[in-house]
Parts: sequence; C-alpha cells; structure tokens
Amino acid sequence: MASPKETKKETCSAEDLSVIDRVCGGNVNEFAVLVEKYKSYVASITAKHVPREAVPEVTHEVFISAYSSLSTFSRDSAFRHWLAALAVRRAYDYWRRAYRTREVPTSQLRPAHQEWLENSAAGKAAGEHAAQEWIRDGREVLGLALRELSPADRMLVTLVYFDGCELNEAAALLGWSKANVKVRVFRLRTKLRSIINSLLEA
Amino acid sequence: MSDKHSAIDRILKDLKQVYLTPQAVPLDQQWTARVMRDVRRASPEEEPEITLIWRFAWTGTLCSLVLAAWVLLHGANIDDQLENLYLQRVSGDTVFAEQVTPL
Repeated sequence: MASPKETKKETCSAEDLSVIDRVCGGNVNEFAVLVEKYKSYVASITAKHVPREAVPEVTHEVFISAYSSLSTFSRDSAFRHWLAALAVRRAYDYWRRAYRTREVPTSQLRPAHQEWLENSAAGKAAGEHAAQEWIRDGREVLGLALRELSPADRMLVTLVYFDGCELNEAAALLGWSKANVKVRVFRLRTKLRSIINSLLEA
Repeated sequence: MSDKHSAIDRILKDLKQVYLTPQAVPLDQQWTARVMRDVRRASPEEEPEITLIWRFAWTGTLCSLVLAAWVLLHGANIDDQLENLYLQRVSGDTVFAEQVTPL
C-alpha cells in the first residue's frame, strides 16, 4: 500500500471529483470509470492483507462499499486514500469472518518453511534464481505467523510493522481510537517475536 | 540470547521484505462487469439516523403548531361548550338534591 505519509497533502483530482459528482447525480454507469482507474491500486492493497484467492472478492467488496457511501466521501482528500482505508477495513472484515467461521488456513510448518526460517535467521539471502521460491515460501511462513494473532492484531502488525504506518495513521485506516491502537501495538511487539521464536524452535 | 534476538530481527526483516513485494492479481473486464452489476443493485447509503430524528422532530413541532392554532381559533367555542356541560352537570345535581330533600 502506498503509505499515507507519501501523499498526505494530496487532494482529490478535478477529474475524480467530476466523476463522483456525476455518480452522485444518478449516473451510476460513470462509477465504472473509477473502478477501472483504481482497481489495480485497491487489489495491490488487499493482496497484502488477504490470501491471493480472496483478493478479487475483497476488492469487489471495497468498490461496492465505496459506491454505497460515496456521498460521505470528504472531497478535500484524495479519492485513493479513501479507497485505501476502505480496502484495509474490508480486509479486516474478511479476517473476522474467516476466524468466526473457522476458515483460517490450517497448513503446518513444512521442511521448506523451516529451511526458509533457518536461512533467514542465518542472514542468507536468496539467490536470483530462487527469488520467486523464496518469496512464495516466505509468504507461507508469514501466513503461519499471522495465523496466531487475532484479526485486529493481524491488521495492526501488517500496518504498523510492515507497512510502516504511524499509530495515528493505522488508527485512521482502521477507524479505531489512537489509544486502542497504542495499547495493542505495545503488546504485539513481544507477541510477534515470541511467535517467530516458536516457529524457529518447531 | 543475543544471537537469537538478532536471528529473530533478521527473520522479521525478511518477512517485511516478502510482505512488501508486490503481488500482481489481474482483474479483468469480466470482474469489472460483475462489480458494476452489483453496484447497480446496491442502493446508496441510507440517510443517517440523526437526519431521521430531526425530521421527526420537525414533523412533531409542525403538528403542535397546527393544533395550537386550531385551539386559538376555536377556543371560545370550546369554552362555551365546557361551560354548558358544567352548568348541565350542576343543574342535574340540583335536581337530584331537590328530589331527595323532602325526607
């Protein structure tokens, strides 16, 4: 996800505003312009938070939410930032649903994962030829580690520790209070290290 | 202990790199068509509850004003009617009293 820090002062483009006005005025088909323009951007955000196979579905939900609440869009900020916040919230919803219905992947630590962890711990970088494999195995290890966290903690870890969001940015993206985020992040620091440690010792 | 600490730091750094590696998920025209089909079915967000509360409040105020105006216009008649009712009741009582007094 493009960090909100990068474009903090960015405002909504005149082109987007014009399309939004037409959609709000009843021309629903104009919404396709926004879908086409931002679908790759939104998919790139959801792809970081949910499994690859769920990306089309969650991205779909983001655009339906965007259409339903288009009248609440604050026009003094960039449309893509608003979409980014919606994408993060829909990804969070995805994990809440998955945990509730116990559809969280139950894969186990395989030898390939153990090898990845050992190589990483030893500081061995992947060679060019193995880069794709290294990323694939790394994603699976990441999935195993995040599975140990609640949906809320999972979202915070990825936003704060991996995306590098500041606490107030993460709070704004998730629609939580800064105090709530601060307390959770403080606990997560040790929890994440403990999870990695247990994977390393498995 | 320090070695383990550093090893975990390196793993976290690599996991961050993996996380940040872009993952292309192509969304074709059929996907866009499905989104637009559902957009046409979806209705824009309902009016916020606070607006509905204000609407009820305004309706209530308007009804009260209409009622107050009606009372002012027809107030005299109501007074007359109430007075008549009162007199009828009083006279009725008197009649009843007269009927029982002879004892």
